[in-house]
Formats: sequence, structure tokens, C-alpha cells
Amino acid sequence: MVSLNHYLFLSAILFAIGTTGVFLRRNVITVLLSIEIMLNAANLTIVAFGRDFGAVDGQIIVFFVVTVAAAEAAVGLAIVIALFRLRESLDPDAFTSLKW
Amino acid sequence: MSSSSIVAIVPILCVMAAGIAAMLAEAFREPGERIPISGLGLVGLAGAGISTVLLWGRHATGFGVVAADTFGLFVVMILVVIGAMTMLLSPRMVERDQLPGGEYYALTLFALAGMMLMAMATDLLVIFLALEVMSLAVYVLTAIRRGTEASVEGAFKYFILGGFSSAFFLYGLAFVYGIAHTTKLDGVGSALAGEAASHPTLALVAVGLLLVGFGFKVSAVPFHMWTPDAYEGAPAIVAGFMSTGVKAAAFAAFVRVMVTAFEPLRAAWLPVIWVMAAITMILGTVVGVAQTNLKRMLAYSSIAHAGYILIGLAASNDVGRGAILFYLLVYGVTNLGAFAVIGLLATPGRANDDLASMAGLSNRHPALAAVFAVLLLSLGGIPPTAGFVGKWYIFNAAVRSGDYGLAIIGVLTSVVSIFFYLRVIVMMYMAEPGDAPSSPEPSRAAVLTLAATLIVTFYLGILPAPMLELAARSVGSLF
Repeated sequence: MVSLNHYLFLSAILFAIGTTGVFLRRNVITVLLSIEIMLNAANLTIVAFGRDFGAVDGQIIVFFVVTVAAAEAAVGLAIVIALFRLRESLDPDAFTSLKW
Repeated sequence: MSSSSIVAIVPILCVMAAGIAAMLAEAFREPGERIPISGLGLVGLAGAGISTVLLWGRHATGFGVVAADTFGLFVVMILVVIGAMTMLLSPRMVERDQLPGGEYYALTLFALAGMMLMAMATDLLVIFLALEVMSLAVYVLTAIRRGTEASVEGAFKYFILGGFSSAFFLYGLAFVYGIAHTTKLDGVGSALAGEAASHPTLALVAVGLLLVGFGFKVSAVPFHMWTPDAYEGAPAIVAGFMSTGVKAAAFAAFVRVMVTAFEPLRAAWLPVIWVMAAITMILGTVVGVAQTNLKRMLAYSSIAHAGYILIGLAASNDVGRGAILFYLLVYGVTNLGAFAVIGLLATPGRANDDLASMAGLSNRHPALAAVFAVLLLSLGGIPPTAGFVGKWYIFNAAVRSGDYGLAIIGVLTSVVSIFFYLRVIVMMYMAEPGDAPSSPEPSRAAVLTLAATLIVTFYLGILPAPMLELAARSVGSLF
């Protein structure tokens, strides 16, 4: 029997994978993917809670989030393409013209 | 759903309609034809301003997730002012930098609509959606000079960290939904008050995740890393727009969430806000001293200002919340004005935004130098400017709630920050002119806007009482 806690545990693992990916991966496309994994980890949590309560609003929330994630991916990829045209590189360590 | 639901969101609809009109105007434009698209934006903003005044004090609610209460409407009014200033200052700069006009104005207006929704939303999901509407438009605005490396790189860093923080916000929302079975702020508040003891850990995790999300948006330390890069990369006027508008909207939602939904957990989040405010003020000021690029300097100054506003939240009495609203107004007008001056000084192909190119500005552009000097003094908090009153009121709130530590750190960092504001003024008035070229004369709209900014800065500095009282009364609607 898969209980609520299993879902929450899985989504926590996914969120952790996404977070690590943002910091450790050396390819900007993979970094974007890691952010998507984080968003979907949150989605899984919401759906799991909604199902546990026997309410549909959890699933409705996720519809909104999926739409937002799609828009975010569109903007993110557009920025990456603009960046690649200027730099010919997908390594975030190459983006150092601005320094703190 | 009644007609009053629509009424509550009329300000947002006006701005949204103007944004769509701006897009269509660009799409149907004959090649070579010039359409004053910023005028469309001003019409929409005027509609938003008028409807905000008409909605004042009526406590309209929309669809159960938007509240046109005085707190939200006050922030909407600040956003209308910021939007109008941006529309008036932009045309010449858009032309000079050859930015795509239709996209620029449409995105600015869509961002404003998202900010207004964020200021009025009373449901965590709607706050998330509004935050994304605002952020996605601002990411693109940052990258709008897409042939410039700094612009695209700043936008990329902003986007990655912004998306990262959105994910934290959403994960926090998920846990809030799990605890309270709802995402409506008042429902969350009563659920937490009732059964906070049954899921204390989960509730704390949720608050922590949401704090990370908001911390990024208001650029509080340690979530500030994107700020200087994004502001330096973006065109000056966009940097001014996002340093004021995004901050006002994000702080409005931040304060609303903290004092309505998470009031029962105050004992847990107050120390976190306290530490955040302290390190934000200190780091923003100390690193700001070391900057030689004006946009980066103003970016660190805006980080420090986020720290001052956090004091108002940490004080969490009505004085503190009123002080936040007043400060957001003052900071919005002066900071946008300061960025606009930097934007006006740029010449084609050259940004002129480093400290050295300020040398001898008082000879080349006496009026711009004077305006810049006054705005910087206001940011530094020198009387009789509005910045002084804003800071005084914030520190007053801290002292009244017995929080002397934050007040002392605030005063000390203010004193240090005056050093880097004064350094610019000394460069402008006392240094020998360098090789910086003269900039073209600003347009009449820009001159009038800067004059109005100056008047507001002095008016709110000398006769702040009516506005302070309005701000103090507006926060009463939060409960």
C-alpha cells in the first residue's frame, strides 16, 4: 500500500535532486531541467495531499503550476539561446563578464 | 461570483488591457510609422489610478482570492506612480538604445499588472501566479538588449535564481496546503492557530520555504546574489523599474502573508526576519562602498534598503507596517528617479555609468547633477528629503517595539551608506571633468517627470504628515 508519506518522501527526494542539480551541473540546459524537477516535486506533493484529503483542488492547483512552468521554460530557453549566440558555450562558468 | 468581484480587479484589468493594446499597436504598425505606445500605457495607468481612488475604503473582494483593501490599494497606487514615471521616462531611451518598442512597453505593463495582482492577492496560489506573471516579464525586460552580453548574462542569472526561488515558494505552498487544506491566507491563519501544535515541524518547513521565495524577490541577504548582475545588465530605466516595482509588490505580498497567514507562528519567524534584516543592511552597505559602477552601487543600496524595510516587518506593530508603505513610496520615487538620471546620461554605444564618468557633471549638465544629488541624499536619508522621514519612521517603529538592536544597526549602516552617496556628489561637483561625452538633452516629458520627483522628494520630506497618516490608516485593513 502506497501511503501519503511515500509520496511526500519521493517528492522530497526529487526536490533535493533538483536543488543539487542547479548548483552542481555544468550545463545550463541541465540547470533548467533541474528547476523543472523542483517544480514537479512540489506538484507531486500538492497532488498527494489533495488525494489524501479527497479534494480536487490539489489537482487544480497543479494545472496552474504546469502552465506557469511551461511559460517559464519558454522564457528560460529563449534567454539561453540568446546567451549561446553571444558566447558559443553552455557552461555557466563561462558567464563571468559581471562580477560581484 | 458577483459583479463586485470584477470591480475589485478593475485596476489590474486597465493595465492588462493597455499591455495588450501595446502589443497590438506594435503588430499592426506600418514599417517606419511611429506610434506613441507609452501614451497607451499612460492611459491604462490613469484608468488604474482612477479606479483605485474610487475603490478606496469600499473593501471590495474579488473571487475570494483578491482583496481591494486599503493596504493593497496603497501599494497599487505606488505601482501606478512607478509605472507612470517609467512610461514618461522611457521613450527617448527606447529610441536611443533601439529597443523593440512594442515589446518593451507591453512587458512593462504586464509586469505592472502582475505586481498589482500580487499586492492585492489573498491566496497563496494567486500570489504565486502573480509573482510569475511579474517575474517572467521582468526576466525578458532584463534581457531586452539581446545583443549585449551583460544584459543577457544578467537576465540569465536572474532567471536561474528566480526560477529556483519560485520552486522553493511553490514547495512551501504545497506544505501549507497539506497542513491547512486550503491556500487562502485567512484559512491558513485559522488552521495554524487551531492545530499548529499538531504539525509544528511541517508548518515551520512551510514558513521557511516561503521565506526563501520572498527573500529572493525582495533581494534580502543571503538571497541577493542576482541583484547587482541583473541591475547592471539591464537598461538603466528597466533596472529602476524592477528595483522599485518588484520590491514594492513583493514586500506587499510578504507582509500580507506574514501577518495574516503566519501570525500564529510569529515566535518562530521573527528571529529569522531579524537576522535577515541585520545582515541585509550590513552587507548591502559594506559591499556598496566598494562599487565603482553606479548601477551596481545602486543595486547594493537597494539591497540595504530591503533591509530597512524588513525592520518594519520585524517590528510587526501597526507603526512598522505603516512605515513600510511610506518607505516603499519614498524609495520607489527616489530610486527610480536616480536610475533614470543614469539612463539619461548614457550616450549611444556608451553607458557612462561608472563613477569616473560622473566627474564634472555639474558643468556639463547642471540640472541633472542637481537632481541626482538630491535623490542620492534622499536615498542616504539626509533631511529635509523624504528618505530621512522614511528611515526615521522605520527606526521609530523598531524602537517602539523595543527592538533597539535593529534600530542601532540601521542608523549605523545609514551613516556608512552616506559615504558612497556623497562620493558620487563629490565627483559631480568637485572633480575635474573627464572624457565623458555630453549626453543629449532629455525630452520634455523626462524633465517634467524628474521635476515632479524632486517636488515629491521635498514635499514628503518637509510635510510628510498627511501621507504618513494615510499609510498608517491603510494597514488597518490587514486584519
